[in-house]
Order: sequence, then structure tokens, then C-alpha cells
Amino acid sequence: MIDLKNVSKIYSNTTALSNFTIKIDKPGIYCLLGRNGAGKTTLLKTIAGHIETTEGEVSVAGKPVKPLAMPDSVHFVETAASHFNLSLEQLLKAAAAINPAFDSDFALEIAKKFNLNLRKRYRKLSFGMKAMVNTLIAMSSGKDILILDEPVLGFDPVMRKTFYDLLHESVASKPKIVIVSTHIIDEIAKVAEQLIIINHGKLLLYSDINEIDEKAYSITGPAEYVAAATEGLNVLADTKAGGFLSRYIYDKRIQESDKYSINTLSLQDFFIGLVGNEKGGF
Amino acid sequence: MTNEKPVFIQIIDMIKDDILSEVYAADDLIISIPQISKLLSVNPTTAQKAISLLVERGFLYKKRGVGMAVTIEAKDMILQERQDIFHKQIVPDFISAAKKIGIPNNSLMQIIKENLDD
Repeated sequence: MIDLKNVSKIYSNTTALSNFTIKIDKPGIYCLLGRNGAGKTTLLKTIAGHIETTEGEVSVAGKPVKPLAMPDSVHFVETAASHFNLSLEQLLKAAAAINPAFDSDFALEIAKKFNLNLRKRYRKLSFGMKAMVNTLIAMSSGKDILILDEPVLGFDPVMRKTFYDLLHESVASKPKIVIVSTHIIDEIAKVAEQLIIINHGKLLLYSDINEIDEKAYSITGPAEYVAAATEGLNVLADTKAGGFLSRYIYDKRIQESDKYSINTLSLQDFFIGLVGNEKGGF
Repeated sequence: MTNEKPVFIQIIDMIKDDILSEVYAADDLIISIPQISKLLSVNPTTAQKAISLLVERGFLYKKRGVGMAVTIEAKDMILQERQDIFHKQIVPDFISAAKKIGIPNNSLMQIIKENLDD
């Protein structure tokens, strides 16, 4: 469905994407992680055809993507998207008029779940509520590909929980590719199926989220035992305190022992281990 | 969920515990994947992975149209597995723990006997 080949994007003197290659075929929820400035938004805008690439090829559903040929199958939601200052009711009507695949029933159902006031004008809504309206329109769009750039920014924890449940429900009821960028990592870890990590404009990791559960762990204990036990393994990061060493690993599991303790890493810890120290990588 | 073992292993262990303690008998349907994911607050794909592995290893089978059920052999297989763990892991760990705190080998027998009598 989505195919990027050696894509680079250079803004005057900043390289936002560097020789980026990725293929996204399977429907499901994809979680896009990266630090601020890593190139997440550039990547998402490239797929949606909102920006021209400097080099490389982008295609969606078999057709090349360019700002003059934005893919029909993609619905992109920016962090600070703007809308006409209409009431939600009118916005939904407009969305349905423009897009025949728009699912008005689903939209109204979500609006009800989130206690959104259908009569309130867009500009009168709070930041979080605006974000909710944008997401609501995306989820009801009936498109095969949804791109949500930091959708939960400004949501309170209860809204976030409802949002993830809806996302899951929406993908289960109609399979589609959903790419979500976020910094609230451990929450998306509970619903996402695939993980994409970008760092300095490069693809750092693209894997099944269950791989992290299986392969990412830490070993803590006296430095000499930990060093001996982890020899030859892929080490992401080290933390030392006194004679103790805590080592983040992304590799096969080692045998348990009373000399050191093994703990699985949360996706967030794994991410910090991977991009927090700049020597990390594969 | 604790963080000592991968989540999918913990799910597998919980279902095996339930089969062993006969919460589920042979041919009983087990809890569904969405239920596991909701109950334990884990990713549905992780629950899916745990169930697939249990099917692959012959502990569960797919009952058409209704869900996953326990195989006839499951309980005996788990019993065998747990006995192996007891011999190869729990007993040696027990002995080395006693050694660490200075309990001599000959009083180990005594301690076990006293506990059995209780």
C-alpha cells in the first residue's frame, strides 16, 4: 500500500529524511516514534503528498505520490489542523458531502461517546476537543489509510483511553492502515501492532511490537557478572552505579541466574535506551 | 503483569495454571483474546501470540466458530512440564538458598519433614 524508496527531504540546510525506505502493506495500527525533530511529521506529510521530496520515490496504492497527485486513499490529520468555523453538526455534513465514503453514523456515535456538543462552533472548542473533532472526522472517513500526527496531544487521560479503544474498534470493524505518531509511548504500546522508530531522518527500527516484549530487557547486577553474561549480545545502553551495572539489551533472552536480575523493558524504556544515548543503533 | 518475564510468557503461564488447577477442564472454552487484553490491559496482538503458541504446542485447539478450547492431553503435559521445573530448578534453587544462609544439608531433611507434618 505505502512504498517509500530511498526518500530524502532536505529543507535548506536541514536533512529531515535521509535515504528512507519502508513498505507498509498489512492493515493494522502502526506506531511511529521519534524524538522531536527526528523527521516524523516530514515522513507523514510525504506519505500524504503534502510535501515534495528532494529525492526518492513515494507511492501509495500503486500510484506515485506528489503534492499535485495526493493519494485519495489517505486521510491525514495534523496536530493543529484548522477547520471552517462551523458547528460540529455542519462540519460532519460538509465532510459527508465531500466524501461519499464518509460514515456519518459512526461519526455521530463517537461524538456521543466523547460528549461532544454538536451545536458548538469549532473555534469555541477547547484545544483537546478540537483535536477530538479532527480525529473523529478521520476515523469516519472510510479511507484505507489514516495518518494521525500526535492525535492525543491535549487529550486528558480519560479521552486518551477512549481514543485508543475507538482506534482499535475502528480497525477491527474495517481493516485499514493507521499510522499514529505520539510521545505517550506506553499507552500506544497497548494497541499498536507494528512499530516504526525514526531517528535523525533515518529508519532505525521497523518491527512487530511483540518483538520488543520478547527481546528488550535489562540485566542488573555486579558489573563483572553482567558484563560476562551479556558478552556478544546487542547492548543498547549502560547505566553504572558503584560496582553495579544495568545493561539494556535487544537480543535473545539469557538464562536467569541469582547473580543478576532480568527485567523486561517497557516500550518507553526501550525507546529511551535506543535513541537517548546517541551511540545506540543496530 | 510483572516485568520479570515477557508479557506473552506470563499470559501462557496464567492459562496453564488455570488448566492445571482445573479452572478449565478438557474441551472447555478458555477466555477470549479481547477479554484477556481487557482484563490484563495488554496489547491484543500479545494475547494473540500467547494463544497461538499454546495452540502450536498442543495445549489448546480451535473449536470452530466458538473459540479456543483445552485439549485432552493439556493437563498431563503441563503436569510433566511443571514436574521437570521442580526437579531441575526449584529443588536446586532451594538447596543453594539454604547453603547461602548456612543451613547444613543434614538439617534440610529435618526442615522438610517438619513442614510435611504441619
